[in-house]
Amino acid sequence: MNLESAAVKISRDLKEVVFVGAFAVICHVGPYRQTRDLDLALATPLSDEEFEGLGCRIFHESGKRVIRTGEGVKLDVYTKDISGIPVSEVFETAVVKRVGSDEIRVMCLEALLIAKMRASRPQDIEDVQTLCRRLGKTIRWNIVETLATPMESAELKNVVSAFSG
Amino acid sequence: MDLEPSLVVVQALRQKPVYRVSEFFGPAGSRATGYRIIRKLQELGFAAKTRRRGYLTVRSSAFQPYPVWPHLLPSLRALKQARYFGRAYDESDVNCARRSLRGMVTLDYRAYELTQFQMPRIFFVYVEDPERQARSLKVAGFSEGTKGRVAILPKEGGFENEIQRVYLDCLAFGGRSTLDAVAIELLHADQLSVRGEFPTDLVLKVREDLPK
Repeated sequence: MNLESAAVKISRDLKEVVFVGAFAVICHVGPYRQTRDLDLALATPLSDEEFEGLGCRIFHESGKRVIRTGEGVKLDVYTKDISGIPVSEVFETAVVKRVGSDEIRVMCLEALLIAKMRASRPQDIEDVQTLCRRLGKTIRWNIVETLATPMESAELKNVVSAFSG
Repeated sequence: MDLEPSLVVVQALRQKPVYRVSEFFGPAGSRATGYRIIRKLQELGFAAKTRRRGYLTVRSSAFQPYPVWPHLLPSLRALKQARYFGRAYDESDVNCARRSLRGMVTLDYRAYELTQFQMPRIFFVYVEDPERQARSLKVAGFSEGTKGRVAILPKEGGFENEIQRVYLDCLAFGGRSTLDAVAIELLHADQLSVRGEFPTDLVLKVREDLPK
């Protein structure tokens, strides 16, 4: 099963779910490099039993809870915040993207950019560059201003400016 | 192109998507030195101008320890000369290039073969004669540009230890390829005599996400 099919199945099973991270980047920009895991935000936490009821398997590796779907896709679940953006705001600002004939909810471009700028690992920096290069003109600055600090907004404007001709 | 220790002033800056040229003036000590350092970093392949004047991007590999830099230079030189080709701009281009190009595959596709970690995107291949290989791709209907999924690289530096070279290419490329370098190091450490340095949380994340 590919990640898109897994995401559609998870959306159907969990209902209140927003995809974040690298899979959200793909939903915004199209095919891209990514690992075989899905990052998702849940409105309400699910217990191990509830995940198992949906066909997932739960492991504990190095003291950390690891969730895998029946098809082996690893799920990284966020229930409080994503890089400081509360899950409630992630849900409020989420956008719908079409995957084949289905629809899923993904983190909006603006929240994704702020989360990735805050994380600032090499892969996040590359993702910010790609998103700004391809979608910089579509950024809704009013959303950025509600989610980011003034300094973060200014920095993001800098990035967009650098990549626009 | 020679390295010089003064270039590591770039590491006084935090890693971020773009830099204003003026951000280099303080760490460099003067405006003139700042410009000179930027020019050297661009020549080496660590930095690149953006579309708008006054800004630049810096590869994450510039934040590796200075003793690692000399080992990255052949990869950076090759990457600066990379030529990108596309025909249908999908996986079929990669399949066609695999059949027609002779050379050493590196970065995305080779890293994926070694680690199964991160889905590949661009088919990078070192070839003996880039001009001849470029012509053969064009005969096969490929166009040269910036968005193609096939990239031919000229051979620069040593290729005696293939896994080491792929590792250094991933490290030099930076960005998402840094994750490939970490995965290669986790799975093929015994093949590596030169290694980069990575934050612990990044290594733990890759270890956790490697296919079991």
